Amino acid sequence: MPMPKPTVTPMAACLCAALALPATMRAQSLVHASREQSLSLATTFTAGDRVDASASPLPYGGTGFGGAASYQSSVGQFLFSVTADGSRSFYVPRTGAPTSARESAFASRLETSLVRQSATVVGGRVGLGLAVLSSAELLEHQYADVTSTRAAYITAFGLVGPLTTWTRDAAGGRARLSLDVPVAGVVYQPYGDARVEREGPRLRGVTPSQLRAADAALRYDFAVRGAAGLFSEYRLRGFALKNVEPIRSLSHSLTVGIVERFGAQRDR
Amino acid sequence: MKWRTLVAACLLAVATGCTDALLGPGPSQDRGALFDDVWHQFDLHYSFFELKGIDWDAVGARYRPQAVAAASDTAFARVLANMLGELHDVHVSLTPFGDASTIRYLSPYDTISTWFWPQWIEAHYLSSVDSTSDGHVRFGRAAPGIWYVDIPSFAGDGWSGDIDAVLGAAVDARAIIVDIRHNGGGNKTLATDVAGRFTDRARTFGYIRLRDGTRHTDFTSDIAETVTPTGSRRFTRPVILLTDRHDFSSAENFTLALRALPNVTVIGDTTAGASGGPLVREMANGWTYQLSQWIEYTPSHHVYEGVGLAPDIVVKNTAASANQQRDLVFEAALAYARTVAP
Repeated sequence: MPMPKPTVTPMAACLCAALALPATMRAQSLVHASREQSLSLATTFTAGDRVDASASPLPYGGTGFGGAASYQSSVGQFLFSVTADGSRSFYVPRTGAPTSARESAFASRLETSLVRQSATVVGGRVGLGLAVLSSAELLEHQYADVTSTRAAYITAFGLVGPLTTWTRDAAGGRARLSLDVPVAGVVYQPYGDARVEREGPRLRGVTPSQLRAADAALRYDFAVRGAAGLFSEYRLRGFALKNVEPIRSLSHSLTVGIVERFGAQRDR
Repeated sequence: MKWRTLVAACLLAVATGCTDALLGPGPSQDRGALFDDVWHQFDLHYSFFELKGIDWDAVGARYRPQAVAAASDTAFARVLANMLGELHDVHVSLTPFGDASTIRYLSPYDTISTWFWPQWIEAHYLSSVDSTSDGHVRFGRAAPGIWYVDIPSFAGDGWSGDIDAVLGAAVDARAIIVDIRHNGGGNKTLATDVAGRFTDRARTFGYIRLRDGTRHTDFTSDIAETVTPTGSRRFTRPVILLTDRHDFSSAENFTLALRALPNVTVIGDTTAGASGGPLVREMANGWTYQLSQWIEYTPSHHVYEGVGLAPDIVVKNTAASANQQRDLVFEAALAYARTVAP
């Protein structure tokens, strides 16, 4: 079955630009002696499309909801962040195929990143760093066969890749654009239905030639001063893994949450 | 304000541009593509190519032109079904047009006569007949201290507790005849749960190996299948299990599990030999199909696919016994029960 070659050209272009710009721009020291920390909680609405060939050759589309918790700490030029999120999504065949098959998924992610903010571009601070992503998903596929068979497919990843951010104060708040491009890691993808007896998990390496992934987000904090505030975020995630049973997905999510700041420089 | 509009426009363009680029327009539904997908999924997942000596490449090459040339969906379904029929596997099926349209290979044991009519046992051999509340199990007293339990199917889910009710009624049982003749299988977990009512401790009753790679010889190592004590009541006195050629799939798992127990004797005929665990898949046009994804082994590592599980004591009904409305298998089981549980 011919599959269109996935492309993340726009993402790659953004990454290249972000990586190249700091070298050409005037470096600006953002050294801060003290530490700033924040905790945030958010709720997320997601719309997405996916093809998981482990379960079906058909593309499925649907919506989901979830929550996220995040901790950020900045010391000097460095920004450390840990975000955990979970979601529940429901999918139907995207192409209107004559089937009553359905999919639903539980997904969880833990992303840890470290960024060094080192330059100013278009009035905003550019940061470059590394992100480590762990994710796991349980996909339940209900087939439209005689017995409405339900099969479960589990995939889990540990991925690493560069992360670039651009932060700028605007309209009384602060906008933050980020782009994370996982390039390699490990995957756990059973060969079939996880409901049947299996051996223990076997991890396989994921090379850059197998993986096309990008996670772009635009976050806006409505106030940068004060102990607490609101924020909103739009996120676009693309993922394509070439494997025996390939996986491809694209999702848009909208997040609204609260942030609690603490530490000496919370009004920065 | 201008830059925000620009950012929003860029995001929207990237988002919409990526969707089709990443996911594609969806799989093709032309017959060649549909055929290729089915053939490829069997190539990836089917478990018996090596064991049955099937050259899947040659099979695909032979049927693909017919599939592409099929004049209608019905004709296309027939070509696919004929190709899948080459696997001689009752767990392989195609369901093209909804519930009543499943096409599968018919083994010789699907149609062989075993001269078995359960109603004759109830009419001629049992002094009392009852069934569990949802009708999954029928049971009765065959003789003082000897009870009869008929399990005609392992279809469905969550009714293994019915056996607890039967064992509750058969409090004076010294031996139980468990009849699974003509049991076409169903739910393997359920069958193993029912088997757990007859064991005193965990025992390994077989092994499976799942396809786990692209080569036809790629399998997991042995995964042990274990029967463990289950339910609120257990019966560990003599059990006589009745089997015949119409026992398929989960009924054979049940037989395999009971054969591992020291208190069980199997009487009747060999089972059908349908051991492959089914995996359901769907096609881009909405049709579904099923294939075998594992090889199951006895505790001594023998494959019983296409062979069946032989009883300890072979007894078969005949046309002559059927004319007399007698069940020779049941009679042998009753006689045996009287010797082991006097």
